Amino acid sequence: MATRRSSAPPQADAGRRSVTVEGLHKTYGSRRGPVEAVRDVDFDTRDGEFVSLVGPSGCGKSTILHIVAGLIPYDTGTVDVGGEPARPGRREVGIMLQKPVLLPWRSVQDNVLLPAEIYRLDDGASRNRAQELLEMVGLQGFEDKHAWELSGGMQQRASLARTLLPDPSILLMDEPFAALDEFTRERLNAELARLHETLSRSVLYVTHNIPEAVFLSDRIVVLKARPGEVLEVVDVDLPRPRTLDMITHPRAVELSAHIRGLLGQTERVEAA
Amino acid sequence: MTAEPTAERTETVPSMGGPPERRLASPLTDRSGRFDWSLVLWPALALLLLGALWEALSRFEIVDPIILPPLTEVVVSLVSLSQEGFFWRNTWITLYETLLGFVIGVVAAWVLGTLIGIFRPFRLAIYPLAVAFQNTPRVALAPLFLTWFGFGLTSKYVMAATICFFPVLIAVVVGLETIDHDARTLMRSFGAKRWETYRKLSLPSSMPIIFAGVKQAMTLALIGAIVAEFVGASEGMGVMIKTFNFQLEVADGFAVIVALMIIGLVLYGIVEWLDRKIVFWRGH
Repeated sequence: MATRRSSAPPQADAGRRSVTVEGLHKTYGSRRGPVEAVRDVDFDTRDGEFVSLVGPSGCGKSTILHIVAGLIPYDTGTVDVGGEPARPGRREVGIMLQKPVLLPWRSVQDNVLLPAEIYRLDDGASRNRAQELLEMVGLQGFEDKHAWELSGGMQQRASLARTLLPDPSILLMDEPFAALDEFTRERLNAELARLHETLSRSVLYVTHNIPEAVFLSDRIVVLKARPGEVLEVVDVDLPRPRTLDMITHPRAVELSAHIRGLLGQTERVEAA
Repeated sequence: MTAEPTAERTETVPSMGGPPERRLASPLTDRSGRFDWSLVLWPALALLLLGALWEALSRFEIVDPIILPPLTEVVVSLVSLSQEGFFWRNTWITLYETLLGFVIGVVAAWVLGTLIGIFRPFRLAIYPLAVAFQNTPRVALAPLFLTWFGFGLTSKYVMAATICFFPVLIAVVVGLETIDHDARTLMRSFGAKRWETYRKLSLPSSMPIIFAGVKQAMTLALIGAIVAEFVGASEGMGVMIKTFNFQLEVADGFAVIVALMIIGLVLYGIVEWLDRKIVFWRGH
C-alpha cells in the first residue's frame, strides 16, 4: 500500500529496523501511588522511515521517546536502537526537544557546534558542517547572532541544525514545533518533510497534532491515554515528496478522520 | 542591597529583510541611542539641593556646626587630608583589607557553593548550617576575630571575607538550582560528563545570579573591614573616623566618610562593569 518514495534508501537497508520497541512498560512513582504511563507498547521504525507517535496528553508518547533516547529508565520490555539497547551519548541518535534550548551566551554557530565539543569531533570539519547545516535550515547570515535575536521558528531551525551536526542516523523529535504559531509550524513541517526526503534519516516524531502526523509520516503509531497503549499503527499511503497542499488531499483527510475516530472511541468509553 | 538592572539596555531592532540588529546602549542613552540629559540633570539637581540644605543648616546654626560642619568645610577637609601621607596609607590599608577579604570570601563561597550545588551529601550536610548562619549578624563576630587574629590586618580581612561569604554562597547554590531542565536533558542526551555539564551549562547559566551575590559581597566587604577596624585596629579608615570624632574634628571625620563613599562607589562600579561584560546576555 505504501507508495515507494523517490528517494528511498538502498534496497538492502530498506527492511532494517532502526528502532524496535517490544513489550514496553513504564510506571512512574507519584505521591498518590504508582501511575502506569506506558503499557505493553510495540512498534518499530525501519531505516529511513518517518514514524509518528500520536495521542492525547497522558498517552506516554513523550515518555516513550525519552526512553528510546536512553534518558529515562523503563520497567520491562526491550528497546533496541540501531542494534543496541537505548542509552544516551550516541552520535548516531539525535534528539530535538519542544523548546529550542539555545544557550544564550553562545552564538547561533557555537550552539550548533555544542555536540561537536562533547563528542570531540574534528573542529575544522565540524565548523564546515555547521555552516552547511545553517544554510540548509535557512539561517545563513545568522551565525554570530544570539538566541534572543531570533524568532521562535528560527530558534527551532538552529536547534534542528544542532541535532543534525553529529550526523545522526536516527532522529528523535519531541513535538519540536508545537510551541510555534500555525503558519510557522506549517512552513517548518513542509521543510522537515523535504529534509527527510533528501537526507532519508529515520525519524521518530511525537505530536498531538493529527494532520501534522499524517502530513509528515510513513506510519503513525496511535496511542490512547492512561495508560499509554497502542491502538493501531496506521500506514500513510500518501505520495512523496510531500507538499503543503497534501494536507487537504482527500486521502490525508480520510486518514486524519480515521485516527480521530480511533482516539474518539476511547474517549467515549472513558466518559461512559 | 542588590541593585537590580533598572531598565533593559539592549534592544532588538528587526530591520526589514535583514538580520535583527542588537545595539548595546550605554546607561545614559535613551531608546534611540541619544544621550539623555534628564538622567544626569535630575540627580544632579537633587544632590545640589541636598548640599545646599546641609550648608544652610550648619551656616545659620540651625544645627550645631560641631555636630554637622558645613559641607564646604568637609570638602576643604577632604582636600587637605588628601595631601597628607597618613591619609593615603590608611586608605590603602582599608582598601587592601577589603579587596583581600572580598577575594577570599568570594572564592571560598564559590567553591563550597559549587560543591553543595553538585554533590547531594554536601548539600544535605552543609546547606542548612549555612542558611542558619546566614541569619546571624556576622558583625557580631568582629570582637571574636580580634581575639583570634589580633590587632593586625588579619582580623580585618577575615571579617570582610566572612561577611561577604554568605550572599555569594547562597547565590551560587540558587544559581545551580535554576538551570533549565531541558538544557540539562540536552546535555545528558549528548552523554556529557558531570564536569562538562558544569563547564558548558551550569557555570555560565548561573552567572547572572552569582553576580548579583558578588555585587552584594563587594559592598559588604567594605562594611566588614570598617567594622573590624572600629572594634580594634591601629590603622585604617575606620580608625581615622574614630580618632577624628574623638578629637571633635567632625569635618575631618565626614571627609573620611565621603572618601569611603567614593571607594565604595568605585568598587561597586567595577563589579557592575564586569557583570555587564561577562553576563552580556542578562535579561534575555
